[in-house]
Amino acid sequence: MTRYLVRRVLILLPVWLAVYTLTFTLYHVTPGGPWDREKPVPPQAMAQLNQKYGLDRPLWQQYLDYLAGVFTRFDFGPSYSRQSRNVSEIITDLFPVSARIGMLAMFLAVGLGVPLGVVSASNHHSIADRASMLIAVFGVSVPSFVVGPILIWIFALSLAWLPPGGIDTWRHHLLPAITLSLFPMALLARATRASLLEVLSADYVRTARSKGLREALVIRRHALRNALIPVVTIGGILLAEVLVGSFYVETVFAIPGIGRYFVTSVTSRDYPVLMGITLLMTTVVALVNLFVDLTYAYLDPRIRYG
Amino acid sequence: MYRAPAPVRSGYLLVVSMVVVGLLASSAPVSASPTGLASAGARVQQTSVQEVRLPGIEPPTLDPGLAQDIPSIDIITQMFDGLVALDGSANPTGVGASSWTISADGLTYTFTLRQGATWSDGKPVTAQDYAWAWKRNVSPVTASPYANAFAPIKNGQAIIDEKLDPEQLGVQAADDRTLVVTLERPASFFLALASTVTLYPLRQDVVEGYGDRWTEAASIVTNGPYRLKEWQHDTRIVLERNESYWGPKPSIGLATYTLFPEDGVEQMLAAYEAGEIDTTGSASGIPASQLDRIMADPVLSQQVKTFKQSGTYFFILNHRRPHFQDVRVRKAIGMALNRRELLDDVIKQAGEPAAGIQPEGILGRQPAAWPKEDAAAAQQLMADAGYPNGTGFPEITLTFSTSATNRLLAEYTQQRLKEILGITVRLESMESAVFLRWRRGTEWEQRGDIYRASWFSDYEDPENWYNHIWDSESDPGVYNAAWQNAQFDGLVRQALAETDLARRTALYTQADQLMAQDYPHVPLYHEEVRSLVKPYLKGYVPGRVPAVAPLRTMSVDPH
Repeated sequence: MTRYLVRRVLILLPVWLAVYTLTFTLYHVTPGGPWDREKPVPPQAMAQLNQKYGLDRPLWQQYLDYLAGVFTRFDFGPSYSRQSRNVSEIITDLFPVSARIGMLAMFLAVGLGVPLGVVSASNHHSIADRASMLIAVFGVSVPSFVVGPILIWIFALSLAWLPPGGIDTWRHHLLPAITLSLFPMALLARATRASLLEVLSADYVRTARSKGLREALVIRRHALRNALIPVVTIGGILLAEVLVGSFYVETVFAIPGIGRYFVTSVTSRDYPVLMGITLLMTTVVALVNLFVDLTYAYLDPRIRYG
Repeated sequence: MYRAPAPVRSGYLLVVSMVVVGLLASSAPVSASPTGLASAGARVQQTSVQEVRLPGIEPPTLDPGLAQDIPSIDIITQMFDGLVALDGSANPTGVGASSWTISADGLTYTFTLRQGATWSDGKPVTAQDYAWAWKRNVSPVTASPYANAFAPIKNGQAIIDEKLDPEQLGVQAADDRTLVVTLERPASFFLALASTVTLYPLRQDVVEGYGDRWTEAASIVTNGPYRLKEWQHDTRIVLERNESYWGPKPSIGLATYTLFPEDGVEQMLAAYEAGEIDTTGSASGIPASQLDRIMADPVLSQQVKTFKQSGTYFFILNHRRPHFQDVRVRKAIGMALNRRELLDDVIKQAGEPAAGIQPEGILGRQPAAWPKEDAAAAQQLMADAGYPNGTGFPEITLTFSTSATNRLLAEYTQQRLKEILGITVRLESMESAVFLRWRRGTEWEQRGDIYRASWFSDYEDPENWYNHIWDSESDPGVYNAAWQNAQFDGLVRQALAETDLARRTALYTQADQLMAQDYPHVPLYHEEVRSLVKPYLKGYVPGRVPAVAPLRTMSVDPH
């Protein structure tokens, strides 16, 4: 098990390197640069800025400079668009905000989505099934930049129960977390339903039923656990996605999170920040995948890692 | 392996514990957020301190030498004083300087600094603080985007070109309170230039002592009526009154800027309606999608204010293209538009339809001399130029950086030029960074036709328009787009050295008239900001340059 974990973590290194190389290439084939403004910066000032940040060096040297900084000093570079800050500080500030909301959203998504799927599958073709799936279709198809403003209008402006934006207290977390949870909730509900329906038609479930077990017990003890494996797979992908923040949710609710910052940095061509956030996202996805794989072993004792 | 008691529940437990751990691990910054509590407490305890709550955008920097954008300049101008400030009519008034003299040849400016002006740590503001700041900001090592502000000063351009050492800049501290500035050649706009943030004083020990981080709340030292109390990045900035400031004491004791996303105009409005901020601010205005609702609301419509800005939106025409060589074509395009309709019904922005390019407050402007909107006359001009109903005129491309407003503006223009002049316009939108690079490149020079641009005064002086962007040698690639008029160039260069106000105004007036005749580019509208201001917030007046509302004029009535 330990060897497995070590191997999984070590495999991150080539993944990082590949992501770094690909991202570096993409940035440098994309037109536009970090110093262009609506009000043009004089060519000399631009040359000086390039010199200050090493952008006047050959590309291969820039490629190696960054790697050297990361490996020798754990230095992810300065931010081009925030003069007094560096990438590590920005990520340390913003990532927890996004992760907190993402975690809360995932909690809501699992807490509502899985039961919804179970109700749906165990009452196949009933009104409850249709109602649950209607909610799921709504969650998948209505985008967060529509839901968000509606929630703000109802709960912040009309009822004045919650603040419309910002991220000062726990009350600021509710609306964004709800908005962010709708899509994963809907997907989880559908995945749970589909998977559970399949398992419910399996032989061993028929056996359990023929033993005379109550349906609720059949589902809980025999069916659901096996049905959860594909759900966990999807849940893992969704978790990685919500942890690194959603541009739309963070924009609608004016939240200083990593998802919004990433998009802003694309616009301002803040290469070091983009690289830092891309590597962070890589890490989050890799770690969540590892977590998911470990969960498989827990759900299905036939799966072992050694 | 282990056995779980019940899969469903354990699945729950797993997630619950994950979330609890997550929340615990990350709850520290939430509950320990000292400022939220502190500012709430302060509001209860010290009711005598007037507090204003404003919207802001995270400033890229609070270093006056590096600032180039409104969010930065907004905060910097509250915290720092320069030598002079321009009043509403562009006359310089002394701030950091109590008086100044100009030598007869217009080359030497001698400033006497104000007695009793101090930094926020109590030390006096000295002439050395100015001299050091200017040499630091002009230095290529600093890489200031506004380094060219020092070009009129002796040796300034040579230093920018890395031919001389920054120490040789023509500024010196004769003594603690006397600053002597020598210019390269007479420059009548120098006092206007001296009002900009790039020429503010800086403290050498602080800037050098803390490096790039000197602008953080813990280290920054400022000389204006407000000081930085807190800067929680991307969240809020709190300014407090500098009690040791030499000047009149402002009413506002505490100003909290909630920082919004860069295009967070909807979010600012929501925060305003929820009562969290006292105005939607001077940066973004009111979202077009909400304008009708607000204007129809009996309460909100009373809180709408409009502020003029020293800036203009216009179409740049590429003078390298043969079909724009004929002035009749250029005029026809400008005359075919209906700018009022464009502003009110299409883009739904505040603004004043522009006849000429130069905005109010710029000496010499002659809006009446520019061609007026007239569809029939525009058609006639096209026919005179040999393109009746657009016959024979090539398809042209209108390029803009992607935004909802720009798209509406472009589509309106496309339709209007087709309908009235028979010109076929192809629209091309580019992501903003791509666009900004494109307009400096050969792609634009060789194949571009028209793009949408804007210019906002750095300081309210004609030099910043006629010389800075329209002189054919100033910045040919970007704004004048190969427009050349030797007579115009001669007039504005002569005006640059002219120190007599009347003669200077006359020269710029002639230049503006020439520009009106030649109609190099197509003016669209002068910028105005429409904003909501709570009735209890008094004295909220964003200036024309920069579009920043000074805290020192504001006060808050009990509410």
